Amino acid sequence: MKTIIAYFSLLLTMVSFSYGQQKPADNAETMIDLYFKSYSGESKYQINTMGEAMVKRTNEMGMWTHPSIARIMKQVKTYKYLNFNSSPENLQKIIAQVSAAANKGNIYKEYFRWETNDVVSSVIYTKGDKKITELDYITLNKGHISVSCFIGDNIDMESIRSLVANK
Amino acid sequence: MEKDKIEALLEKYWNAETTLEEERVVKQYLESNDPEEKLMPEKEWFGAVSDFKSLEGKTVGFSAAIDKPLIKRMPLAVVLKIAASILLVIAASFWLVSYRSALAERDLALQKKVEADLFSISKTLNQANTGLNEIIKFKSDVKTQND
Repeated sequence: MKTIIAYFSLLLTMVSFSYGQQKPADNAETMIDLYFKSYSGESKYQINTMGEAMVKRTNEMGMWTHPSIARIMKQVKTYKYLNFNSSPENLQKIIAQVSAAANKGNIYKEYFRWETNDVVSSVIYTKGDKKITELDYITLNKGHISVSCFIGDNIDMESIRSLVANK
Repeated sequence: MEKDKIEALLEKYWNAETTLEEERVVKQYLESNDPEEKLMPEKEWFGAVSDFKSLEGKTVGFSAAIDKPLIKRMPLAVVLKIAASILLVIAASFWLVSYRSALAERDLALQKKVEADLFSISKTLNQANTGLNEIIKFKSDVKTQND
């Protein structure tokens, strides 16, 4: 019986260790936490987080497929992304609500918005004045929304822009 | 006289022709008297028969010295505990391997998503630059035509 208890303890330790590896070390609130939590009832609402430990491990193991991505990811501590489904009309309303909240809150600045015939297809937000500490990328496509948050100390936008050119 | 009679009965005995009473007489004679040397084999025979009869209905046991086995036979409960522990370890190992594999798949999916996002942002920012350059070029062309 003692042996079985010992095995279970060992297993639980290993499981907790495994889960612990995936927890983001930084619990700072992102745009997802601030403006998208209220939509958690939407279809297929899902948040995934690449915690600081995971980003660090991926960097250290050289797992990125491109050196430019590796360089950018050295500036990133945590990556978080959200996606869910809703009707295209509702998604446009959500974007309008988020935009209004961001303008009012004065935390995030709209960096770039791509709009065709009054339909928004993507918006980029940044946080931080001199140093960008958060980069948010929202894309809408046929009833599907995706929000990606890159959190770091100083994210260089030019490095990201030149990524396609360097490929 | 009696000796002759016994010899005659013995001859009948070896021919399997004696009655139980005659056999008893022969036996009693051989047990009680000290027969001559000629009748000694018969005496031993009847003695042996008598010994066998005394053993009749009894269980004969044989014993032999057997070396004890090196590994003592374990009780069933202990065997079951060991088997359960081994099964638990095997099941836990399989679960851990599959769990790790699922995590690795998820990590890879996240990694690809990060890369796809960065390329997408880069593409969008470049489109923004291209769009702005086109507007500047358009304005410049209009200005040149007006001049």
